[in-house]
Amino acid sequence: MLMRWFMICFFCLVLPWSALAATEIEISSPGEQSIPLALTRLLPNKGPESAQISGEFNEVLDADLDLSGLFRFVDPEAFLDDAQRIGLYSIQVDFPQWRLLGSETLIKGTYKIEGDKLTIEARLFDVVNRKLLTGRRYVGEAKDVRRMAHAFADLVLKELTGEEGPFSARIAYISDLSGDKELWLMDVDGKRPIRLTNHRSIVLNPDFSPRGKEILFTSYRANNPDLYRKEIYTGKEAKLSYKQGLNVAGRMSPNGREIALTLSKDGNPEIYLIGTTGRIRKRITDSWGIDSDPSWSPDGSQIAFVSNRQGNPHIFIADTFSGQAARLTTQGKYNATPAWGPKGERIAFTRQSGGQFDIYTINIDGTDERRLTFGPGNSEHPRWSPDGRFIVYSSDKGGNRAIYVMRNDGTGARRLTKLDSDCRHPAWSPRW
Amino acid sequence: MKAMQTLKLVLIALFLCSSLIGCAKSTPQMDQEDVGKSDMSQPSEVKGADEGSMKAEVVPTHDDIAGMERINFDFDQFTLSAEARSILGNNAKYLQANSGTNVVIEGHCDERGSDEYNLALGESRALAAKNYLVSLGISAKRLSVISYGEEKPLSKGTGESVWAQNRRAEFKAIK
Amino acid sequence: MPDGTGDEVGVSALAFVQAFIQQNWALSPYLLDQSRLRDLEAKATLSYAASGEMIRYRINTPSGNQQFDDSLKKAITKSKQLPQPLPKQLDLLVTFNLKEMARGK
Repeated sequence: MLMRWFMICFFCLVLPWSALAATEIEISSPGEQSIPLALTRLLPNKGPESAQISGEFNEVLDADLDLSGLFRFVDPEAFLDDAQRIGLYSIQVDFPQWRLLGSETLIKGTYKIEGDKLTIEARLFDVVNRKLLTGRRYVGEAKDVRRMAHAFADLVLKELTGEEGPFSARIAYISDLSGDKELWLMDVDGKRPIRLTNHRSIVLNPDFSPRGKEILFTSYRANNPDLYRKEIYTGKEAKLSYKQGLNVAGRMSPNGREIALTLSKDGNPEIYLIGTTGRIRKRITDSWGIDSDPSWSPDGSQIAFVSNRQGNPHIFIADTFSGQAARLTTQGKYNATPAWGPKGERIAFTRQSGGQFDIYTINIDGTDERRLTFGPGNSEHPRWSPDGRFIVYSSDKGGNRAIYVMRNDGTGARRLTKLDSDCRHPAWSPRW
Repeated sequence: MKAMQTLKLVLIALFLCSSLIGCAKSTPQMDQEDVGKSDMSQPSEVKGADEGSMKAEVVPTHDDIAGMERINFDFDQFTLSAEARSILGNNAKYLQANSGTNVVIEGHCDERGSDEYNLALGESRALAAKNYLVSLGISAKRLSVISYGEEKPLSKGTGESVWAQNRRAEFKAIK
Repeated sequence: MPDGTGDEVGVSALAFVQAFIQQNWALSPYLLDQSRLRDLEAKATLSYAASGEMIRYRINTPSGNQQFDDSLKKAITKSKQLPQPLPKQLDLLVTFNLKEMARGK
C-alpha cells in the first residue's frame, strides 16, 4: 500500500518529462560481477567479551558466503570506525562510511554471553538504500555459535536471492577413520564430524529421507549387502530390505512413501520400488544388463539410473509409472552415478575419460552438457545441495579420497574432510 | 464501509509517519528466533566413537580354501577368459573331491567407477563363475554369491597392475 | 531547450558517463537463473545537469526480474553525482543487459 503511494507521487513528478529525446547508450554487463559486502565482526553487547565467539561466527559466515560466489568481501583492514560501533538500527549505521569503501551490503551484529546462554543478533543492511534488509536474534549456548552463523548465512542468501541457503543442513558420508567403513555426519563445512554406525563391516551409500532426520544405507553387517534405515536423533536402526543378493543404492522418493533401490534377488540387478516397510511394490527396469543407481526427479515422476543394456554404462531416464526408459547420455564410454538436481532441470553424473572420472551436468533433454571438474585424480559421487547451488562429491586428488564441495558451475571447489581417512559417498541432507 | 475509511486513515497516518522518519523498513526486525531447542540436541553418536583410541577389528567371515584359486576379469567385464575357465575347471575338480565343502563366491572390482554399479558388476562376476561351475556339474545348492564391489580391494594403490589384481572372484568355504 | 544529442555533449563525456554508470553496477550471476541471462534487459532514462548532478531518472521498462532491477536502482543511486561536470545537460536512454556476461557462459 505504501509502495503504491510512492509510485503515484513518483509518476506525477516524472511522467511529463519522459517524452524528451535522449541519447541512447547500452551497458551490456555490470562493472562488477559480485556484490560488495562488508562483513564486520560481532561486537560484545554488554556482558563479557569472547574473541572465540566473534571469531568463529565470522569465520563460518565468511566461508559460507564466499562459497555462494555472490560476494566480493570488502577488505576488513579498510574498515572505518563504524565497524567498531554497535548500531543495529539503520539510523545508527554510518552508511556513507560504507559507501566510501565501495560496499553495497553490510553485516553487523552483537553477541551477549550470560552464563551458558549465548545470544547473537545479526543484521544485513543495504548500504546504497540505507536500510535494514533482514535480521535475526539467535538464542542458544556457546557451542551453537557455528549453527547460528550457518543459519544467518542461509537467511542472507534468502534475502538477497529469494532462495534460502543450504548451510544449516548436514552431509552424511562414509569414512574408514575408525578402521571400518562406517556412516558419518558432519556440518556442510566439514566441521563437527560424528560417527553414526558401529557395524564393523562395510557401510555404503547413504541417502536422506525427504524430511532429513532419517538415513538409508547399505551394510554388510549380516554378510549380505542389505538396506538399513536409521533415525538420526534416536539412533534407532532397522533392516529394511534384505533379499538374497544386492539391496543397494536405496533412494527415498520425494514424498517419502517409496524407496527406489537395486535388487538382484533374481540373479540380475534391477531397479525396484519398495514401501517403507520393505515390501516390493514394483519393478522399474527389466533388461539383461546391469541397472543400478536410481535417482528420483524432484516430482517423483521419473527415475534416472545407470544401465549397460546398450553395451557401456550410460545414464537412462525411466518413467516411474510405466517403466519406459530412454537413454540420456550419448558421449563417453562410462557414465554413472546420476544425481537429479532439486530444480528438476539438470542431472549431475560422472564420466570416465582419459582414464579418470570427472563430474558433468546435463539437461534432462540431453542438451547443454557441461564438464565441471578437470582432475587431477578422480571426482565421483556428485550430490546436490537442497537449493541446487552446490554439488558435494568425493575426489582423490589430495591422495586419500576426501569429500569436496563446489558451485554447480564447477567453480569454488574446496575440501571438507581431512585427508586422514578414506571418505566418500556424500549426501547433502534436506534443510535441517 | 466504516472499516474501510478507518483503514484509509490509518494508512495515511502511517504514510505520513514513515515519511517523517524516513523509511518504514528501517524499523529493525526484532524477530526472535530460537535456533530450535529440539534441534539443539545432537544427533546420537555411537558409543565409543572416540577417534583413534578404537582399534579396528577385522572379523573374517569366511575362510580361504587352499585348493581353490581366484580368477580375474577385464575392466568393466564379467565374461570369463580362457584362463579363468581353466582355473574354474580345477576348482570344480576340487569341489567334486570335497563334496562336504560349500562355497561362497565373492565378486570384486577395481576402485574405478561407480560403487553402486561396481556392486552390480561384482555380482555379475561371481554369478558368471557360479554358472560355469554349475555347468561343470557342481550343484547350485553348494554355491552362493556375494558382491563386494570395490569395497574390499586385494591390494591398495593405483595403476593397471593393482587394478587387474582387484578385478576378481574369490572362493571361500562356508563354515 | 537542449535536444540532448550525443554530438553536442561530446563523445568523450558520453563514454565517461557510460563507464561511470557501468562501474557502479554490481550484479552477481549467482543471483540469476543462468539460462535466462540472455533475456534480461531494462531501459532507463537518466538526466544529468551540466554540474554533473542527476536531476531526474526513471526506469522505463524494468526487466521484471527483481534482483536485476534492484541492482539497476542501486547503480543509478550510486551514479547520482558525476565526479566531474559535463559540457552541458545530458539526457540519456540507457539499455542495461547482460549480453557480455551471457557470452562467457
